Amino acid sequence: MIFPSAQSALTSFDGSISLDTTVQKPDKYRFFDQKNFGNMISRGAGLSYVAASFGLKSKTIDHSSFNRLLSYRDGILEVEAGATLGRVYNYLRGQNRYLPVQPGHPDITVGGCVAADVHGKNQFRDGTFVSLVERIKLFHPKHGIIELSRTQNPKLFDLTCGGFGLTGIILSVDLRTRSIPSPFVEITTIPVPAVEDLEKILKDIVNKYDLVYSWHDFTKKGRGFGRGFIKAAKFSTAGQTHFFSAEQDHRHLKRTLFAERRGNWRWAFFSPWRTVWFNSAYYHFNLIMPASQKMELYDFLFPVHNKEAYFKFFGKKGFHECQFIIPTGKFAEWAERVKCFLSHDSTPVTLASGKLFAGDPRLLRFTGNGVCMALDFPRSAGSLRFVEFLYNLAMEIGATPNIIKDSDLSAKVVAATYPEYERFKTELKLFDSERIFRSELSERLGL
Amino acid sequence: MNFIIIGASSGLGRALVEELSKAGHKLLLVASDVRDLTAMASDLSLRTSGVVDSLACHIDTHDLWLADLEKKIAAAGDLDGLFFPLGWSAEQDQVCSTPELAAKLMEVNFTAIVKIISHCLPHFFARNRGYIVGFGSVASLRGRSSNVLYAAAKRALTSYFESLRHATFKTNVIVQLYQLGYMDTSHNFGRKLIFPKADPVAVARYVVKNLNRDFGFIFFPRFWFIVQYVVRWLPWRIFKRLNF
Repeated sequence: MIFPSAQSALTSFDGSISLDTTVQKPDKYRFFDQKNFGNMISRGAGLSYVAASFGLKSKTIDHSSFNRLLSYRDGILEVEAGATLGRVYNYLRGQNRYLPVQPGHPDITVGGCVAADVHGKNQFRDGTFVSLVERIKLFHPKHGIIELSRTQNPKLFDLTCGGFGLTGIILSVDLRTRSIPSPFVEITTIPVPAVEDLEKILKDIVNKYDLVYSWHDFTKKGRGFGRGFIKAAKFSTAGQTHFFSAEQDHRHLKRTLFAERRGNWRWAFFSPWRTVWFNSAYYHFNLIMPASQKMELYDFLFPVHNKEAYFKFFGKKGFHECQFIIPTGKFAEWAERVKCFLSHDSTPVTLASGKLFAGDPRLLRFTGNGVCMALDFPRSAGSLRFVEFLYNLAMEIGATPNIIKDSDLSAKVVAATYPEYERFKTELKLFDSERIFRSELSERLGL
Repeated sequence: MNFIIIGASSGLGRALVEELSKAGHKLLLVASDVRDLTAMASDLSLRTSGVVDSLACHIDTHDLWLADLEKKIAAAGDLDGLFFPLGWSAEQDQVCSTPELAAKLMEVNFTAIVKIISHCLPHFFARNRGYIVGFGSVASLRGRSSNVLYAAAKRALTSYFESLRHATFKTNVIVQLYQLGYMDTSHNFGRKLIFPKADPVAVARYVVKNLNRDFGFIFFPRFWFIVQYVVRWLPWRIFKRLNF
């Protein structure tokens, strides 16, 4: 059986990289019986900020048709890698369970979460996505279908979780789920008047809540720089007898986010002065809202759903997302240096959001001990100056950049900030001497 | 109701299975690869209220699968309907074909369907009710120098369904044939076609919604009703020069 190929223009979600590439979209397992594939890379929803699912010299294998739920027993859900978080959520809620670690949009696939080893709303307590993964079925043309777990092929398991799809095509994943005490969460808004206090406040509250993140205004000049608030959520203690209606079922599964459509608006809303106004309005809006609110778990887990316009506001040129884990005890210095830079630079930071992180750095996984800060700002002629400043600052204070969020990262910066960069390269080469799986990301980082 | 879907594992078949399963029907999925069937059956069992069984067989090879199918039907109880969202075409399908290719094209697109219907029709007559839903192709509207045997088989299917409807008009057996235009399936992935591709999910929803209508024969998407007139009545001196 022949699976047709097509030439397609694929774009990274941040809008920085667009390439004409060959795409194949199989929908049958017979596809994996072939022997000669050439260079390739797997693609799920194609929502990575960076070009992780396509490359100039690789064929993209779109496996979004492999999106089925395979089994559920004793809290372990087995799914095909193309299953979206929304689909998984919809099933699990019927079992009164959920995935405690997941990124903010329901269209993201489980395979993508494994490959990027993503984090959720409380990494400090729950770890990264790998903490949920019990077993993986991986396809590699030279090795066939391999089962991976912490006890079976553990090295390859390690390499695949957070391996950016470079070890092969993830066919299915067994996920450990957690029971939901309530379908609703109670959110408390805690003001953070001075950003340099964030680390201390986060440490004080992180163990008292189930989900925690902060928001800051980095466009405010002077003493108010970084003013913001923490959103801390706990599962509601009020008893709930029912979960969701069938109507909501339908809403959850309708795809709303596409990398290729993000830049449809040629005009960018986020100019320097409009961003100041936008951030100020958002800040005050959140502080005048009741300090304690009740929200559906779905809306809290997937805050980006139905707010996709935010990404369109960056226009065709796109945006940067620079995310770093700033080591414990260094956050105040980092914030001060960023404040100092932005006091004489007009880069409009549209989002600055923080979380507390914990964990030992391993291979190319985005983990470590400290405060994780994400900064969004529009791509412009001058924006690379700020990016360069952030990279230099990271190397100076020992911060770790997030590879899956940042299209501008170079091999030099990654080698300097990831202690196991060389080990990742060596182990990858040892497993796949021909280096069949390649993407723009892997080429750029010299992997 | 008990339905059999032949060609259940991809494209329109997969979409039909999803819609029928959502409606809570009991389904027997038939396709060639047990891996695809297992994944589908597991998924539907978890997500929907429909009961799902499956049978992996190559309907183009030999007739042994008919016995397996009969066993499955007997195990499932009364059969209420048959859906045939299957089709197979090949780039080598030219005016001169190898016997193997010709046999496979005719078997998958026509003969196997006839065999299954012939096998199941007595069940429907005995109960005086049932649904038989086939899917033809606009490729069969007029013979061209490509897709030669595929088009011939689909035209044969159209004729067979006309006969079937004629033979069942005194009963409550509903016979429907959808003449489908281009579909947005993996087979057509990336192909630039002169008319828009139909979403299999939209087609499946239409089919399930209109299951009780005795319309016999319909073009879907509906604009193909107009297009087919143009294709049929295009003068030969123009048609012979077209390359599509």
